[in-house]
Amino acid sequence: MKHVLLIGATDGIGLALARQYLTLRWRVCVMGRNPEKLERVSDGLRREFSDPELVSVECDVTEWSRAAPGFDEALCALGQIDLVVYCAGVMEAGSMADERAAAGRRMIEVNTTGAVPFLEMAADYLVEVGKGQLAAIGSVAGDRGRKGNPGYCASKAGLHTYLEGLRHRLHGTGVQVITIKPGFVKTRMLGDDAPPGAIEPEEAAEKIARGLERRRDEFYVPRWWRLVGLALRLMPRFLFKRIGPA
Amino acid sequence: MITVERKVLHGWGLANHARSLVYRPRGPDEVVAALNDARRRSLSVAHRGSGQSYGDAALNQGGAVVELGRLDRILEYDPEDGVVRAQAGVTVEKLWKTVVGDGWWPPVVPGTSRPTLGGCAAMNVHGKNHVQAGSFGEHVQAMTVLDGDGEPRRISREDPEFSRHIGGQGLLGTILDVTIELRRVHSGFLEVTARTTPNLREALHVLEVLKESHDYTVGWIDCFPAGDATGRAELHAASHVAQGHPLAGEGLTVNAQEPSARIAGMVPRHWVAPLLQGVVHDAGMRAVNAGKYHHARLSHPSGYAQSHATFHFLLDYIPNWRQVYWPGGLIQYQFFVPESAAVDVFEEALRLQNARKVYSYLGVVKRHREDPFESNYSVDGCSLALDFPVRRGTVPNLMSLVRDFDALQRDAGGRVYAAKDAVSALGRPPERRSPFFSNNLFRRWDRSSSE
Repeated sequence: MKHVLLIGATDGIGLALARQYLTLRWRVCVMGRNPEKLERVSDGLRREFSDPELVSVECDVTEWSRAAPGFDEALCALGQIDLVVYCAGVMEAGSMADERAAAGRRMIEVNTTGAVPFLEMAADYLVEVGKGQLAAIGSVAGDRGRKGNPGYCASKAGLHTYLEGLRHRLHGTGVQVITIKPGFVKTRMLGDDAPPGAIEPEEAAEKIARGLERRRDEFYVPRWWRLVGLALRLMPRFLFKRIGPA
Repeated sequence: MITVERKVLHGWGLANHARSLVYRPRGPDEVVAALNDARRRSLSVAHRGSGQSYGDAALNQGGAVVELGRLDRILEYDPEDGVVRAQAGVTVEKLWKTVVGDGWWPPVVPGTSRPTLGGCAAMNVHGKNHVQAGSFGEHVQAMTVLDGDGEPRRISREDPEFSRHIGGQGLLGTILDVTIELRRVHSGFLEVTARTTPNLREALHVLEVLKESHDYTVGWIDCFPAGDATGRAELHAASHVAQGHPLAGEGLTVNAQEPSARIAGMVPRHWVAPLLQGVVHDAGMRAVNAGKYHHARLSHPSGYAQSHATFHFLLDYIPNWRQVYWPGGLIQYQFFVPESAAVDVFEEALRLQNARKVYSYLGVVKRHREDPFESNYSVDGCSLALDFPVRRGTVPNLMSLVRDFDALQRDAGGRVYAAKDAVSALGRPPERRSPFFSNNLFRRWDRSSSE
């Protein structure tokens, strides 16, 4: 009845979103880069849900030449698309300069530039349809540049700005562009040292699905992060330099 | 050189859409060119008339769609013996407007006049006289069909493959033109009787009686009430008038046929859809349905005359009514079950939708009979068509309901009608057994096997 394309859904929030939408009896396409993992994940979901409306498409978002055929394949497999969520994201770090550089580049490739072709293709498609939602998972980290991982912050900030521009371009077409900003979610990204206040991916997915229904242009998950985000964005630079979080 | 455009097409219900390469040929030569071009690109092909199928029948995600609406010429028409040969893209509306002045009427018409004759033959549509006069295909004398080898062939009803093309959804070839035998009418008016029944059981019983004495029968159902009033209905039966009747010779013009532009002389019909927009929710539609039922119950005119077009094309009465369902659109689930099972299945269906709190805003019952064609969707029994709005919030319940309906339909030996279907899992290839897919795999398979 409703059709969602989840790009980067073999892990973390993407996978939890796949579960969430299967529970809501949507038709779901999970897109992932690793074929074995993709198969394992879809097999798992097929066992978990009886007779799920599930298809999977293999696609590496860092391979630009694969984006257009990947999107078309997903569209054909789904039949139609009502919602696209770009969930692919990595957070890497390094101690040496060259490691940090490689990590930064990789994060920008996956989190930012990887999203671009999908956002553009989905935008054109949804505008033709005249309705639908186009969302991507950003991060509270994208609100300010933090000392802990500038590369990650930059990649998410880039994504936010791209989405904002796209939203302005698509205004009045019936298509909504949404920025989702999760706080701490206990995924592989955070590893074992999840800070207090971190929520389970399932809880995040449920909140994201509800947030998308509310049709806000931008929302935080959970919602109280909105206050934190506001405080961080309002904090003067001299203060952020001294006491800003990592 | 044939023009081709990559674009998104919607199913009539607006709940499904698909992006395809769309060809709009202007003549049979361009149809051949379109099919060759699609083959060169190794695309599967779906046919589309005026896009009146509710679901995905005229969609083809990622494939090619040949839109035949420009083939809209009436090729031969003999006002003496009432036989018309018309191109596939001629609409039912154009047909009746052409022939009504000579005292003819299409023998079978669906609830809207927008479909094309090619579409009517390919889906083998029916009207309110299915049980009395059979389906559309039974009145087709011959067709010109373009199949795998690209040569147009004339197929008449005696040919064995005729039975495959009628109701074949255009999967076996392109229907280029259709030759139809019209029905002689002595008047532009039908004699209509209306009555209400307090529940579904009685509605089906009365329909059974009415069909013996009338040419057309149909029932409208209020799907909201539960308990004793489940499926309370307003039934309409209509008959042609004989020669010598006071109405004979009257109303055989296009102007007399068309319903007036204003409802009750006041409200312009095109205002209705925007006005309805405000009440298209469960509470509002419950009130509208109840109002309609009680109005019919209290007014009960004994009998009245109505023009053919007004009686048949009820779905055209409110222009653009599907827009009230935007952006989610609507789906229709139509049960076709044997007569013996009808009451139980339909009551259970209405009970299930009440239990799941997903309400059909429009329900229609009809009486049917088997068709003599190979892909036969009809049964000797009854159908119940239920329109459901698609809204994000109700999708989980609606999907569960549809699966319940599938089980109910399967157990009762029911069938699925492709012109309406968008969501049923019955009768679809297993790998694409899912809601709202475009059956392009099916088409690809079929086309390659016919070559």
